[in-house]
Amino acid sequence: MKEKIKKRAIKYFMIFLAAMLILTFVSRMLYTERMPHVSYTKLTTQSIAHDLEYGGTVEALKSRPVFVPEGLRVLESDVECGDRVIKNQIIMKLDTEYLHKKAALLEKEIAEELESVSAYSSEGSIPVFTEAGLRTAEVCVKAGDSVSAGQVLLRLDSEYLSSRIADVQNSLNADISTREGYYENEDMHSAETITNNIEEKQRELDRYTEIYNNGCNVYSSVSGAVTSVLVKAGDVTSDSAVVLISGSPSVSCVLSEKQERLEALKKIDETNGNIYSPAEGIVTSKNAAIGELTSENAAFIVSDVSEGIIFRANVDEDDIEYISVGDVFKLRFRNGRIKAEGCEVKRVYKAADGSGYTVELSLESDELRAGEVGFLKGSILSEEKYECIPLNAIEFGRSETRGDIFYIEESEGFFGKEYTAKKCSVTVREKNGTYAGVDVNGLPPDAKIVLSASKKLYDGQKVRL
Amino acid sequence: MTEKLRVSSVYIVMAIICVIVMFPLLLAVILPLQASDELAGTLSPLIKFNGDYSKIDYIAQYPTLDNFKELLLYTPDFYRVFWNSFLITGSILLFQTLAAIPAAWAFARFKFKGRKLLFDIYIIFMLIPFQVTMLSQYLVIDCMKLMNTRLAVILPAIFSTFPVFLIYRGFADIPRDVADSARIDGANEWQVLRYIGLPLGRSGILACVVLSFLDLWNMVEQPLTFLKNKRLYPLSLYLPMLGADSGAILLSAAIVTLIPAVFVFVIGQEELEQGIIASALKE
Repeated sequence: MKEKIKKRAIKYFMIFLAAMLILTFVSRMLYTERMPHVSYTKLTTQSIAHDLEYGGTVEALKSRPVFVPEGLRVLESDVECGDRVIKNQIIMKLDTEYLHKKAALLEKEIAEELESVSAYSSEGSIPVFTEAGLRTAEVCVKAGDSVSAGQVLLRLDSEYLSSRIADVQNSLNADISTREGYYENEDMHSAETITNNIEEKQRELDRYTEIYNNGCNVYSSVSGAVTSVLVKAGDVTSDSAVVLISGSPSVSCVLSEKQERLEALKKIDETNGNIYSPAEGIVTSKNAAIGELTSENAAFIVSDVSEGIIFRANVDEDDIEYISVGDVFKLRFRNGRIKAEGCEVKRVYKAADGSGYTVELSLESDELRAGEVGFLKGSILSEEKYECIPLNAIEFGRSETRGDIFYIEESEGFFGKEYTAKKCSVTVREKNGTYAGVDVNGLPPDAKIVLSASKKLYDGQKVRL
Repeated sequence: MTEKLRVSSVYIVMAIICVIVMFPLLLAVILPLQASDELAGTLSPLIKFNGDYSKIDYIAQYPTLDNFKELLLYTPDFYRVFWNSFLITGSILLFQTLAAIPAAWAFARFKFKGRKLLFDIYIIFMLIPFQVTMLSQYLVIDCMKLMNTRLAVILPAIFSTFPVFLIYRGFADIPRDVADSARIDGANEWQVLRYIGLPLGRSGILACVVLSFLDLWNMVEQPLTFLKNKRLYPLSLYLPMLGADSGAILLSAAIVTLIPAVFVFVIGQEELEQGIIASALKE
């Protein structure tokens, strides 16, 4: 019996050992299958290079914009961007019929507005007053009229005025009777009080009488132009002025603009709708298409090449911090066939459309012409040297300046050298499109930084290289 | 009646002692069957050292073999240390037996000057614990440039004195007449050992193999002292290295580690008993 058990035990022990042998290989395979494969790079100490490459155009040192009144129809335009033009060359022809219509319409508008209350600016005007509480019978002037001193501005209602005079007279008589009663009663205090009223009413009566005697007219006190009439027939006057007169009248801003626009239209009409180039140069911008209306922007920009050329490029806001006046860049034109080295940045300013910055560089070349497209190329090194790692090795969270990286820790394991992925936080100090200069605390100087992994990594995970 | 009561009470006491002795082994079998989160809860007081005691569910809430699966399929380290243990133990056993048998035969069969003194020295060496000779062994192995190699563990163990003592007792039981008759028939001393000594001293040799296996399989101090490279570690160093936070793997590995020892014990149980009895009777 014992012998049988022993034999069976030996058999099972052998099976156990065989199973362990097989599982040794199986577990190794499965473990390797689970293990992520990673690629790595070494931590390097260097400056961060910011490579810049922007497209731009060759432009004349001076540009001459050609403005055309807004809303005119373009009839002809033979020049295009890049065309060379001479001074006074016709660069565009406008539809004169359309221009006439526009001018007529504008003239009408100006005439209407001149008659309106708001046509003239009331600034510096002298007010003309009359007695309050009287009814206006007729307004003899209108805004814009020239008046001389003593000219009738408006007539008051004589019937209304005579009734007002009668009322005041009656009231005055009543007050005088009352005062006499006070004197008889020797009430001197009341008599004195009512005397003041009597004097006031007497003065009012005198003024009314004077107006009545003058034929119920209100006269201009100065010579000039009526800038505003503040009452109309039938209105009862108040303490406010009835008419404003200016010695040197000026029209309102809106009206002034319209007048200027009309002048401009007339000038164009004089040239039969032709628009001329203001200088000899290259057309670098065109904002007018045949059949369409002109806009408020310059219809053409003519680069005046006689005073030299420059290279102008629009640069993104992110990169502008690396460019400053005095920096030197290389420029490439015509697929690299023409190169210009040592081009200095002359001016940096915010782009007109607000979408970045415009950089102007000096350029000297007899071959290049205004309007040619070229490329600005340069590399700016950071002043400080950083521990640099590839940007794709950093796993950014919410913050753009803080992220996590994995580095590989080497240790002696059961199968020789083992590699463990360790997580570490880094602060990005500066970066370009490829590398990031980071602050790393506690990372060994020759650390192997994980670039990519075949599976998602976690801290402490065994990996293979 | 009184006799029955006495026997029953002895059985009860023995059963209680047996349960107490078996309890850790029982836990080692029960705990790996718990799911990893349940096991983490059980072992957390051991990890956190916050003064709490572990509360053990003797029946797992969700019994699972996942821990064994993780160990056997996804822990190749375990196999490395298992085969390291197997290699070290097997090598030692093989060469130890080969060295011990002639030595024991000489002590048992030959009469030479200083035999008694030499044997006494053997016994003294057998009683000296490893810690006493550790430093001197370390220096010798370092001089031999064997540090951090398996030979550093294997070589000193080959020349252990305990197997000589155990096998000696088995050979000493063989009647001298039997050996003499073989010599009369023309057998030389190696033939006497091969055809008379080994078959008759088999129980002593096997008892020695079983006892040595159990001792070597659990050997800690020697590998800890002489091996630095993890690639050479045996099971006995791997298990403590895992720690309580890898409790699931640790407990599963402990069970698998136990299996070879159990097999060897079952296979050599009879010889072990005979060998020990023979040694005890003679002494």
